[in-house]
Amino acid sequence: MLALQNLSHTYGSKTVLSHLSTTLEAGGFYAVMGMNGCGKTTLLRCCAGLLQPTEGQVLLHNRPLSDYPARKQAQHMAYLGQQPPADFEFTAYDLVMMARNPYQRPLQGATQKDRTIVEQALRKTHTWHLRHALPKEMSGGEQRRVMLARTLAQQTPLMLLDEPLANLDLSHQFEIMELLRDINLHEGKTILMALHHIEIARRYCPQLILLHEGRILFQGNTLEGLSPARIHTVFGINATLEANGTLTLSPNKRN
Amino acid sequence: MNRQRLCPIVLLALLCLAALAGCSLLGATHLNWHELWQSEIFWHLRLPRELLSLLVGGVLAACGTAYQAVFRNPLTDPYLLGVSSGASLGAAIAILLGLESYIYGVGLCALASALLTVAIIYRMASTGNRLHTTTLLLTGVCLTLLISAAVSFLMVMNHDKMDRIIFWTMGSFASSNWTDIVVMTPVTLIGLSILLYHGRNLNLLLSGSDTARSMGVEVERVQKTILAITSVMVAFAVSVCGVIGFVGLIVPHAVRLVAGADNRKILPLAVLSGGLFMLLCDTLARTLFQPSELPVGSLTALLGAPLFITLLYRNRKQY
Repeated sequence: MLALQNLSHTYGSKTVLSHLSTTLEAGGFYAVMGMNGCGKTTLLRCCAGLLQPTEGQVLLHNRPLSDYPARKQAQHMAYLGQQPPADFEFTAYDLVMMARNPYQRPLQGATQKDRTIVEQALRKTHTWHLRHALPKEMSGGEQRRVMLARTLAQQTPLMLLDEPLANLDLSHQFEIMELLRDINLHEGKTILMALHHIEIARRYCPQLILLHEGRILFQGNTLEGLSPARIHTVFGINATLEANGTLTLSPNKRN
Repeated sequence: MNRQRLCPIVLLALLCLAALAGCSLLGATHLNWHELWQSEIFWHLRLPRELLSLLVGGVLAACGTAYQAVFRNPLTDPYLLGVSSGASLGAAIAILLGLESYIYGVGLCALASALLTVAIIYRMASTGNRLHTTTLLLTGVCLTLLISAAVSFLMVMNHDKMDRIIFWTMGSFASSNWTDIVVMTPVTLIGLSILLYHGRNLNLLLSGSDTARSMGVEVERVQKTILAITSVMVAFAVSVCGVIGFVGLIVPHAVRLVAGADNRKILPLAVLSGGLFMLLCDTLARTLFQPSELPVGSLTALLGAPLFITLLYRNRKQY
């Protein structure tokens, strides 16, 4: 579905991604993991066409992403960034309705189908009760769930999610992951998400892309990829894998 | 368009018509309803002047709304990209060269100079197809200051024509005529149609360029289109009546306080409110101290500021 070919990106003199090549299969559920600053967001932004790679290219269905008009691309992939919603006075409902833009003609209003999809997205993320609320009246976690509802309402086969669990309490983290797994399994959507929670990745994301110093250190099965040795290499923390499959993490003692 | 959205538009349009009729009666020569339709003063002086103030007020408010969305900054106004300073320089040069005696001498010079200034600012803020909005803002502010300094220099060096340049830069509808209407009407209609066409894009741009792009907006193309069309609209407006501040900055906010953030709702309401406000200000400008006239730009600020502060105060929890 999505292929990265020799992808590199630099900010000034700092190379963030260096010659990445990989393919995302349709229907996959991929976790992108790595330390802060390892290039997770840069990778997602390149995949979403928001950043032009310094070198290499991204192919969507074997066509360079840059060949797609924005509207067409937005019917193929949705992107959830880390930024909070707009400061201006849009309600949660209006914000989620914006996701229907790729399917609406310029002067066309929302159709009944759009309204149904928006309501479903808000209900799935448990934010229907917030539909009349402005972002400034919501907590960080509620804003995040509304933004996720917006990504769902875009109804694309590929979803790129940059830390969708940020600011969410434990209960909502699991609820959102259950929802994403459900969408992946039953609607066949491909999901590529950056996240930090090793336990959640092991539990919900079958595939892993582990980034380290701008390169892919591992790509494949998550349970295999998140071995104690790799966790130590990437995150600098100790991990012990119990016989029953439980992973115990403990911080390195600093002098 | 649903009834809920249409109602305030119809109401404002009717208010504009009522104001147009009412204001026509006022002036140095008082007219009554029976005299109005046969009066030369109405057909040749008051009606074109009132229509022009409606058009210019609408254009400034619509462009202010669009600028605030494109730059995601509530402090932007339609003169931000050097249109006002460019036009003032053109007008000052025309006045100094004695082109006032030629029909549209000053207006044409102002228009050419305004468009040239905006073109220079665009050029300086673009690399390839990319438009850097922050660079655009900063270049606009710097060049505006530079050109304003040049205008001040020209005025100091030419004392005898200073008051005419100052009066022009403060804006006036005193010399309005039907040709101005013929020029401004298509510019206004085409410009507003393009802005309304991009109403949803303006909403998405407010959410940030990443969000807008990922939801199908060709961000840079839309930004360029909107900035180009608004610059042309404002340049034409300035060329027919000089620089009238405040309307383009405050009317969009006032409408937003009442009607919410959706630019598809705000744009038509801002056009009508801006036009109505300008018409009322101009009527006061020409009737308060008859037979002399006040510069309408000073009245827009004098009346608009307290009105806006009242709105802001009443809605301070929201803002």
